[in-house]
Amino acid sequence: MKALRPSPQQERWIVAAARLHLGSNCPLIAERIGGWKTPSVTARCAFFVLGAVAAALTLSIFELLHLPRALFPSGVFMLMAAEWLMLREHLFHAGVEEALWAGGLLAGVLLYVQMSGDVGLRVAFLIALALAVAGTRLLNSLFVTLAAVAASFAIDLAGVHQLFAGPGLAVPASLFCYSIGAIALFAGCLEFRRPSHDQMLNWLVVTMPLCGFLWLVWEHAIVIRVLTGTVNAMFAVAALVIGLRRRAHAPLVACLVCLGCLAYQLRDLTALSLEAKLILWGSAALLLALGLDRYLRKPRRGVTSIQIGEGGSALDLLQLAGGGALNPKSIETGAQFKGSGGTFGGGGADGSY
Amino acid sequence: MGEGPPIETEPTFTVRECRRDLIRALYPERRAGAGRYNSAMNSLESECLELKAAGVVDEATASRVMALQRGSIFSVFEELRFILYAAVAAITTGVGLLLKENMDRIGPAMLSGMLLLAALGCYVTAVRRLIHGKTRSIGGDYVLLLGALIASADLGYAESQFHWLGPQWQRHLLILAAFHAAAAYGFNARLLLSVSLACLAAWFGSEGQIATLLDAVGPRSHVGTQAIICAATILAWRAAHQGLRGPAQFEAVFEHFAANIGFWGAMTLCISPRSRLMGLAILIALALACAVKALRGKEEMFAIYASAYTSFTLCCLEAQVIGYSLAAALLQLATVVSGALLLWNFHERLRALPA
Repeated sequence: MKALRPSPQQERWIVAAARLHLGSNCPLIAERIGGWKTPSVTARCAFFVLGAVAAALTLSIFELLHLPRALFPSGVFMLMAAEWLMLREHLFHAGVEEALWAGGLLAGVLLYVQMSGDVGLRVAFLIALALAVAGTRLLNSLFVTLAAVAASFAIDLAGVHQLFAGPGLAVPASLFCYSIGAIALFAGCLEFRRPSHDQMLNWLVVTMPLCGFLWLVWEHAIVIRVLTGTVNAMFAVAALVIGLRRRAHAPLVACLVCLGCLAYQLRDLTALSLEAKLILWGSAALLLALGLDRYLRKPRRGVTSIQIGEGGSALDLLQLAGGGALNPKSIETGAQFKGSGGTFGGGGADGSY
Repeated sequence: MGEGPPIETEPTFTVRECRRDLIRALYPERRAGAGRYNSAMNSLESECLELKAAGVVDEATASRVMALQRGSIFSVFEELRFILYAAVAAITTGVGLLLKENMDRIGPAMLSGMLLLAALGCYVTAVRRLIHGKTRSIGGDYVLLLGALIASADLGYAESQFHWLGPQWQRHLLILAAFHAAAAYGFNARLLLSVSLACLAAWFGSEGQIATLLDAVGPRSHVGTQAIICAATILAWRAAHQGLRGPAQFEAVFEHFAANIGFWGAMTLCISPRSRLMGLAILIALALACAVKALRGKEEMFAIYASAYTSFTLCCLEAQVIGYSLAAALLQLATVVSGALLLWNFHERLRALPA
C-alpha cells in the first residue's frame, strides 16, 4: 500500500538531511527517506507561488469553459492533481501540491458562497475547516495557523462585534487567539516524533499573540489598551523564559513580537512627536541589541550571539535586500524657476499667494 | 553517572567538550541527563549519530549539529539581527519624518549638521575597530548601516535645501553610491555595498516598484532600458572587482542585484508594446545566464530567478497579447507548469551535483 505521506521517521531523516546539506545522492539518506522528495525552503516558496498561480488559472479555465458550477470540477481537479503529485511523484513539502490542495478546498468554499450567497459565519467556519484539513493532510504549519486565524474570524462573527458591523468589542476573538498562542507555547514541552508538529506549534506561538493584539488594536479605550499591553507583556516574559530554557527560537521571536505590540500600546505614554518616539525606541532597541551582542560574545550557559555554522543563505539575501530597501528615497525638488511669476510673495502674477 | 558537568561561565566550545557529551549520549539511559536543555523537544541526535557512524559526516560537523540539537550551545544571532534591523528601520523612519516635519522650523544648516554628526558617530565606532584590527560583530555592521542611511538622508535633505547640484540634483544619488561603495570596501561591509547598489539603481531610475511596471506603457517606458543599463553597469563593476581581487563575499551581492534589476528591466520592456521583442530577447538571455550560473555555482536562487521571472513575464505577455480568453488561460497554465517543471529539474540536477 502506498504511503499517503512520509512516516515520522522518514520525515526526521528528511529534516536531518536538509540541516546537514545532504542530498538524496547519499545512499544512506536515499534509503532512509523512502523516495520522498523535498526541495529547500526557498524553492518551496517559489513552487508555492507557482502552484497558487496554476490554481487560479485552473479556476479561470473551468469558468471560461462555462461548465455548470465550474468551481466544483476545478476544485476536484486541483485536489486530484495534488494527490497525484504526492502519491505518484512522492512530493512532500514541495509547495506546489500544497497550493493545489488548498486551492481545491477553497474552491469548494467559494462554491458554497456562490450557491448560498452567504458571506458570514458559515463561510468563515468553512474556510477554517478547509485550511485545517489541508494543514493536517499536508502537515503544513502555514495552513494550520491560517485555520486558527480563520476560526477567530468565525468566533467574532458569531458574537456581537461582527467584524466591526456590531456594537461590541472583538474580545472573544482576541481571547481565542491569545489562548491558542499560550497553549502552543506550553505544548512545546511535549515530545513529538514529527518535526512538522513542532513547526506547527512554532508558527502558532509566533502568530497567534499578534492576531490577538490586532483584534483589539483599533480600540482606544484605556482599559483595553492596558489589558492588551499587560497580556502582551506577560506573554513576552513567558516566551522569553521558555525559549531560553528550551533553547528554542520560536518563543524568542514571539517575545520580540509581543514587545513590539507592547511598545505600540505605550505610544501615548509621553507627549513626544511620532518621529521622536521612533528615534528613541529605535535607539533603545539598538543599544539593547548591541549590549546583548557584546555580553553574549562569550557563551553564557551555552547561549551566544555568535553565528553557529553557515547560517541561512535565504536570510542573508533578505538582509541585503532589506538593507537596500531602507535607503531613503531621494527628495525630488520642484522646478526652481516658474515662468508665470512664481508663487512667492514678490511675484504674484499668477495670483497664487 | 548522572548529569553532565555544568557549563562553565565562560566556556570555550571545544571538540573535547562535545566528545565528552557525545560519549555520554551513546548511552541512551543517560542521554536525558547529559547536559540537555531541550530533552522533550524534537531532536535529531540519533540521526546525526547514525550519519557519523556511517562516515557520511565528519566528527566536527556531527559534534556541532548534535550540540545544537541538545541545546549545549544556542545562538541568538538571528534574533539579534531581527532586533537590529527593526531598530535601524525605526530610527531611519524617524529621521525621515523629522526632516519632513521640521524642514521649515529648524534651520537647514542646523538639521543637516545634526544628521552629519550622528552619521559620523556611527562611522567612528567602525573606524576604531578597524584601527585596532578587531572584527566587527553583527551589531557593528548595523551601526555602520545606520550611519550610511543617515548620511544618505542628510545629503538628500541638504541638496533639497541648498541646491548645490542645481538642475542635476539627482546626481547626489551617484555621489552617495560612490561614497557608500568606498565605505563598503574600506570596512569590508556587504550591507554598505547593498546600500550603494540601491543608490545606483535609484540614480538609474530603477525603483523596482509595481507602479513602475504598470507605467511601462506610459511616459516612463524608458525605465526598462535604464534598468538593463543599470544591471550591465553592476556586472561591469563586478568584473572590475574580480580583476582587482576585491573581497570574495561582495560578488554574490553584485550578482543578485544585477539579476533582479535586469529581470525587472526585461519585464518592463516586455510589457511595453514598442520594446516587446527586445524585452523578450533580453529576458531569455538573462534566464539562460541565470540557469548556467545556478548549475555552475550550485546556487539554487538563480534557478528560481530564471524560472519565476520568466514564467511571470510570459504570463503577463500572453494576457496582454491574446487578452482574457480560454486560449490565453490555457497558454498561461502551460507556461506556469513548464516553469515549475524546469525549476524542479534544476533542483534535482543541483542536488545530484557533488558538493
